[in-house]
Amino acid sequence: MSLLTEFLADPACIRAWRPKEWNRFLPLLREARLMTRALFLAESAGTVDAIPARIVDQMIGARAQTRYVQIQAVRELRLVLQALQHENIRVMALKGVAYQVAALPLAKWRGLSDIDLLVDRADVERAEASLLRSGWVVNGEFDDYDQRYYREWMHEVPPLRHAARETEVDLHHNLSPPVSRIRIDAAELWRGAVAAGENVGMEVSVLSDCDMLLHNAVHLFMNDELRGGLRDVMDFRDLYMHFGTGDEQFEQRLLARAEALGCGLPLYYAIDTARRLVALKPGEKMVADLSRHRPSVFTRSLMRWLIEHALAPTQTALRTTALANWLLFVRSHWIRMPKALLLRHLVRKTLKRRAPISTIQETPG
Amino acid sequence: MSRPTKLILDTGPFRVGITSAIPQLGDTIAFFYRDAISTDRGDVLDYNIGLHRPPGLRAMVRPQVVFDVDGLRPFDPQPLENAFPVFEWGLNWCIATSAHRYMMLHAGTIAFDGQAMILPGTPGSGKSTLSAALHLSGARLLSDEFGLVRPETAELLPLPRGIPLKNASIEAILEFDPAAPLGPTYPKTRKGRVRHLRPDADSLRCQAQPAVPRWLVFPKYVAGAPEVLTPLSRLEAFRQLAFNCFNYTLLGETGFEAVDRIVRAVDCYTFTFSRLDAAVTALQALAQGRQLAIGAGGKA
Amino acid sequence: MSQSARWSVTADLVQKAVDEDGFVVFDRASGLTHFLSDMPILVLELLAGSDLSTSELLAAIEQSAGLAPGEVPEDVVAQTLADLEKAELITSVVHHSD
Repeated sequence: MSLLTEFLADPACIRAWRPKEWNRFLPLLREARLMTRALFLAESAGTVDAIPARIVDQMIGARAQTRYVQIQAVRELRLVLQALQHENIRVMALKGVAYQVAALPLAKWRGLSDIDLLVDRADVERAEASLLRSGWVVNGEFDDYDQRYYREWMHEVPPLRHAARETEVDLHHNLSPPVSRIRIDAAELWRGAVAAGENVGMEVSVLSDCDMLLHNAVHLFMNDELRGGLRDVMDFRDLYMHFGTGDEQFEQRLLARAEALGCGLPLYYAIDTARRLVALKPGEKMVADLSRHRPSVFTRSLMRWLIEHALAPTQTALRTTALANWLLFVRSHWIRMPKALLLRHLVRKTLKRRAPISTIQETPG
Repeated sequence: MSRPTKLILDTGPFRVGITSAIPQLGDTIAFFYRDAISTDRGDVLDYNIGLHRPPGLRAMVRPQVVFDVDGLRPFDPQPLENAFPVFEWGLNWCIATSAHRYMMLHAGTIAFDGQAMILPGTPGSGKSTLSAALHLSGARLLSDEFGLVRPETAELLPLPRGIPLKNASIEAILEFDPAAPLGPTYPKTRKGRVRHLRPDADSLRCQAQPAVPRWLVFPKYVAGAPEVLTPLSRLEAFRQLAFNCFNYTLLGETGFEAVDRIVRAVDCYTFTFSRLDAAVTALQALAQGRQLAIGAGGKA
Repeated sequence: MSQSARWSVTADLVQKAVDEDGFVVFDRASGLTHFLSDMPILVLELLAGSDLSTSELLAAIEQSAGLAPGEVPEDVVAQTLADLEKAELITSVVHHSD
């Protein structure tokens, strides 16, 4: 973990590295899905010459994989929009695929394993039905319990995948589930939405700059198990720096927007984590103003410990990670579900869970 | 239980760390890769591989081996006696899932004086047996399984490994050359009975020297058929070469440009054969600029 | 009403003329590789200039091939358009006239 965060905070640190560091670093980088990000970081810092040639080749290989999934994601969005064109449904692209259609700097290095789309709650069923008619199918095995969980308690319908292709499509109608204590007013998201997609010949919306950051924060800290990991923390930093550079009002707008949407706490965690792990440097006023959203000092310490250990790659502290993951999981469900439902759901999920060590199949960064 | 030792293997462009306490494994790796093996001097590695026996009571009854790389275990445990094939397949997995710096052809590749002949491995092709026989007849072995191509130049990079011969191919090669240096027999693998042909010293010594593509030959073993080379149109060669590329789709435009580069640089043929010795003679003649039997149709 | 469908190119093509038998193209928009013979290539070239309806396309093909009106079978063109659409190279937008 420390080699990764050391590098992310200061790409020039590799000039002091010897083979021992590189051999520890490479598997961490791959597991964190940050291979491509690392190559771009080194390129802009002018330190690629300090990376051993065979490691550069591994990164180039990862970049090829990343480029492929990026193209497939944009392709999938195009085909979804074509399938929905007669339904008169407004569609917003989220996260990875949004970075592509909005041509943000992250679009160069950010991989994806699926596309996330936001539609109005009133349109979800129609959109799903239209896609199912056009060749998409439910991806994965979902029994009735799972389907209800998805539909009623989470903010998603079960993921879809077209029979002829690989990219998974996740339809959402909000950024946080209806039963969550953090209720984001979806109408507000649409009000702030920005048109994008011109560069790839499409008409689709994306979230406003502040809402993109808040979505990242909510997704990372209010979901199961900190699934996004260090990569999402880097996304937060990259978005923050992109939108904040040259815009003196940005931090104020971000804070005001967080307060308007009830996302002060996730924003606090996102900025605090990004500061400590990937050297984000928010303004002093932002840090000061943000402190009114932080929880008690005990909760803060516990969460910092949980977050740090949950983001640790599997090789370094398996048990601690598993424990931290579980606790975070429980916490995220306190936020998400009424207590009465929580226990029942946790028991079911535990029964279905496989061995804690699993092979990572995802694209490496 | 013996202490694990760590070897460093240079194989083609890759440097691999291999840690294992399984005694016969180190000997087998040394048999195949000789001077390409060194001890750990603190090198930067592409892959850090371990082959270990899982602990526990079960290990007494059914000894097994587990392959792991950088904390991942892509396969279920396998019988301990198959430790070397497991190492080879595991290393292939590492390369196939990460080495997209290169275009990876499913092909045997051999070189005659720095010029490469690519033999794509269409099903039923017999490419491994053919590559083995050509290598035994003096051609440099670039690879049997992964034709590594540098996309920007279309150069072929060597990756000389033990050539796995399955079932009847073993006898075919021993009939072709009774002195062929084959490794141990593994009677029960996923692919049946397997023995590997050792790459010669020259192929290992030159494994950092790329070759230029010169001939693209799609082999097809047909029992009883005469040895016939039929010129193939470039368009059809493009189609079949892309089909026989592990990562063509993933590489996108880079793959498209690289296949185009190769197809423009080579003479393309399909090749039916049944007798190994006659097949080798025919392909050697091709490499020397002489052709024995040309089929009708297509253009060179 | 197919007459009011207008076709446009969605592909971003890199093209190689590998030999006289045809072309192989790579579409950057989808990551797919296609082998195309003369008719699909011609249709793509005509649509690259501007969006056309099926009947406009038919006329344009006849004109560029130096043929009389009606000489190019409609079903051949329809099949080519269907194939190109399936290959994600073109798309149709239906306009409803008043």
